[in-house]
Amino acid sequence: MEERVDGLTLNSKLLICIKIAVFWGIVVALILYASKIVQRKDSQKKYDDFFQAADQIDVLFLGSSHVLNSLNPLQMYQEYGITSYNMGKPGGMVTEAYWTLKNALDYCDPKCIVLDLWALDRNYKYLDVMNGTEEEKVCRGSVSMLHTNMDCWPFSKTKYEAICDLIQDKELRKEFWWDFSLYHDRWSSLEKNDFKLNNTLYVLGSEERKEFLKKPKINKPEDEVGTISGYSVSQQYLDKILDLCEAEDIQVMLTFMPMVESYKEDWQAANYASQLAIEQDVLFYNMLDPESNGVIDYKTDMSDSSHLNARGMRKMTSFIGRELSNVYGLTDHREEDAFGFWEQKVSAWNEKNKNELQNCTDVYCALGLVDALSYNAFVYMPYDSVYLHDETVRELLKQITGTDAVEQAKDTNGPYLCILDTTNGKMLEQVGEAQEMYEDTVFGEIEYIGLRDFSAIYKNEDYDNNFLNMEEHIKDDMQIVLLNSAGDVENVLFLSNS
Amino acid sequence: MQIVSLEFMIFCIITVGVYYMLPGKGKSIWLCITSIFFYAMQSGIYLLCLFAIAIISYMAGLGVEKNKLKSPKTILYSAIVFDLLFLGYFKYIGFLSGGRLQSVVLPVGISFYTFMAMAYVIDVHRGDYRAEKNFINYLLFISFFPIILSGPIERASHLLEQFQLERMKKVCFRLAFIKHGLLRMLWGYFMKMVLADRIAIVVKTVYGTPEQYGGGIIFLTACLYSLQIYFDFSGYTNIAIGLAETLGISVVENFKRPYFAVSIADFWRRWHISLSTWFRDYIYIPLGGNRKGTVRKYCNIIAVFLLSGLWHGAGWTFILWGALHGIYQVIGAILKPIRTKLCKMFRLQKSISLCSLQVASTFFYVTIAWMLFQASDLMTVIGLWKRFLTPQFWQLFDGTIYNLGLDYPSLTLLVLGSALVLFVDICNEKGIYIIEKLEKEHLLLRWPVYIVGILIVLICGIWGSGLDISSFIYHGF
Repeated sequence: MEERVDGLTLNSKLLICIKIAVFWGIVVALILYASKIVQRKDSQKKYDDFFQAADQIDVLFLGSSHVLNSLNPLQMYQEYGITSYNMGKPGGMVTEAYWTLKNALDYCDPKCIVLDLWALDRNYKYLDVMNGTEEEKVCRGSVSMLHTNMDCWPFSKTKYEAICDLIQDKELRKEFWWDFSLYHDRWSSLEKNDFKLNNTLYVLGSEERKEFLKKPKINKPEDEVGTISGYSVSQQYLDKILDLCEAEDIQVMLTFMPMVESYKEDWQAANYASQLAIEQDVLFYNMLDPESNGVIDYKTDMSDSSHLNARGMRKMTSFIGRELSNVYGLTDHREEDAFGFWEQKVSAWNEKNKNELQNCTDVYCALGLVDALSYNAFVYMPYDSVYLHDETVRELLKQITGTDAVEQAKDTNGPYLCILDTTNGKMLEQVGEAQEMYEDTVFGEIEYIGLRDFSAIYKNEDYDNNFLNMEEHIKDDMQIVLLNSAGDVENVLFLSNS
Repeated sequence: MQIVSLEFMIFCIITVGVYYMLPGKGKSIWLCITSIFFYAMQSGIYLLCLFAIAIISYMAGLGVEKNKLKSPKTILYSAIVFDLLFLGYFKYIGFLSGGRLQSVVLPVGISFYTFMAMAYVIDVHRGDYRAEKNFINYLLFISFFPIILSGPIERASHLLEQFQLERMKKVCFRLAFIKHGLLRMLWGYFMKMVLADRIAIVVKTVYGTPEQYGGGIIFLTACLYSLQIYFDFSGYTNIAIGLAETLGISVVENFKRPYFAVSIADFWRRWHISLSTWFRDYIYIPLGGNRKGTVRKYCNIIAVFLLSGLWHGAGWTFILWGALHGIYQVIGAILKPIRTKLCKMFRLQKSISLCSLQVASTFFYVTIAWMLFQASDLMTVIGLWKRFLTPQFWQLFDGTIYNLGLDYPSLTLLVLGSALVLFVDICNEKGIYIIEKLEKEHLLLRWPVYIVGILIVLICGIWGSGLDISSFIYHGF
């Protein structure tokens, strides 16, 4: 016999309790699902790979967008077998780098960090207050960018401490505890990508910029600027990072990435870092002055006045990777079976770059990728090509060929041909009107005819097939014939300035 | 602690949970503690104002009853004067001094709880209600947290009566009440967060730079503001009534589809009913009501609406808003015989077209008056009215409305949401109560509706730190 309490049987009460639990269970599950959908995906995209390979990461790159656009972990693995992750973010200061590192240490055990010291002179901690003189929208933007480096971390003691340390307004902190309170409003602007994570922007946390800064105007202080006066909040956090790394047995490399326009404060920070590096016995690479280190060429490697483009990133990654490999003795993992994840990522990245090159319509990107991917190619510019008078194009070709022939081509106003036979390690150039025969290339015997109003490249005396299109593309400013390692044509890029 | 916040939700869950675990006497003590806590979270030190009003009116009630045969009026007038001075000091000092004295911070809900306190003392004096002996109960009546911020303005005979021990002993956990209360709250949150605050974005955009828009857009915005204030205040009232219902306590209705009113007088029978009836019972009727001739009646109407305007805010725009409503009613009354004759002549009595015309014209008059209500000063309103001379109607169709702060999906949601409110109001007007109908449906139909409702409020509602949260309009009064 059922016991009756308050007019209801115990079974009825139990049923009501179950119904309530099921109802609210469904509601909570749907809210959690909705919060995933409406979430801004920057942070997930940036750190998705990190969580997959955290236990294999040897190096973390920390800092601002200067780091984000300077160091490519996939290239570093491809060239040196070093496993790394780029944690740089736009506007990221040393204070944020400290907390990013702390959060990352909950998941990985790096052997080394590379820390960029941009904005080392900044003397504020709270991103929602900044110096107290900025407009509200500037502070709001600063907080918004912090989400890129915070949303991905599940709630933890470290995350709690980080937010409390970087955000003063207690109300504002809530949007970091439960970001649904911030992002639910995105419902009206959801896209297909919000339902399925499509990580095409980031390369293990780094970002390749496609733009080329043309005619860079270099600015740097002319007089001796000394070092930072006082002890800024950022300097305090730099010391905290160094202490943390010492405690965790992590080696430190300090950098100051290149900027076309640098100011007194940047050089003061760099000078301070130089002194500190000596005192703390850590390496510091000051890239602010490219003339002194010879890594970056402002004419071809910048996307804007303070960020490297993909070409500059390749050079910088090669340089830092070499230093990490030689000086810090980091392990080359390329031959280890357990590092299949990295191999897969590298293959996918190379494939993506190849596809990008095949569909490229921008002359700078095309030349940059031809060089980066070591493609076999014919690069042809007809008589009176606009690109012959484009300084950036000429600089790129000079770097690719290692000669000044393209400068002569500018004087003769073309035509110009460059044969890149990377399979055999050969490079051949022809300037002005000419008829030449080239033997022993990977493509076979090549005959080139370069005239003002007609040009042709024939292979093995096959005069019916001209590699160059002299019909509908005769007026194009550049033709790049892409060939595979066997010398067969993969694609032809027709590039025009119009 | 905002009503639209996670903290408030947690506060409600704890309050309701503990409430049902306590015996009858403990229930009112617990509600009193939580109400005081809630008010303290809103107003901090101004909690003392609430205490002062509660103590004075409580003592006055006892005094009036004890001295019924001696000098009850002295105590009554003293208590009313004290309440009015209190209200006057906090609300009107800046206005009354012509700006020479700076207005002090307005304690939240002061206009509501001083009116409740005054009504209580008057009721005791009239013998309509016995003086409350238990101070906890009385303090709870004055500070009851669901209604303290924006009403409804309750009467002792209704609310205080429910806090009596015998009544509280009978309150027990009833799932049906709680479910109904929660649904009412959900509906309130929908009106506030999804509709009112969405309209607020448009209103803020247009009224922020009115010179950029023609009369067409200005009028559309004025109409939207009419909807905003309804969704906002009615939404709050639904939350308050629903929350009280989860505690097994009934709170008076404050709205009855006000924009279905066929005249301004009808509008005031449907809009902020607890305030209208307060003015009727404690100002209009004591002034003579309609018993002392037509002219006196009109004077009384004008006086009551001037006071109503002043109650809403210390400013000429509010007073003019009240005066305009008074004038509407007087003109309406004067023209009534002519209107009746015309209707008879054209055989329009009880026709749908007449009714629609009356509803539309009433909405128009109310909307024009609301323009005074939202403006910071008179010149701003005159500036807006002047924009009507250059309507620029094409702005309504050339895509301008998509640049008023809401994108296409958001505007679509607003239109659909408003249509839903209209549908529910039509059903209610016809005596069909959707919530009750829904509760009788099978679980497989009921639950999806509840769940979708919760998700729409949470996802599409305007809330969160990154966005501009507007507090309830009536919290400012």
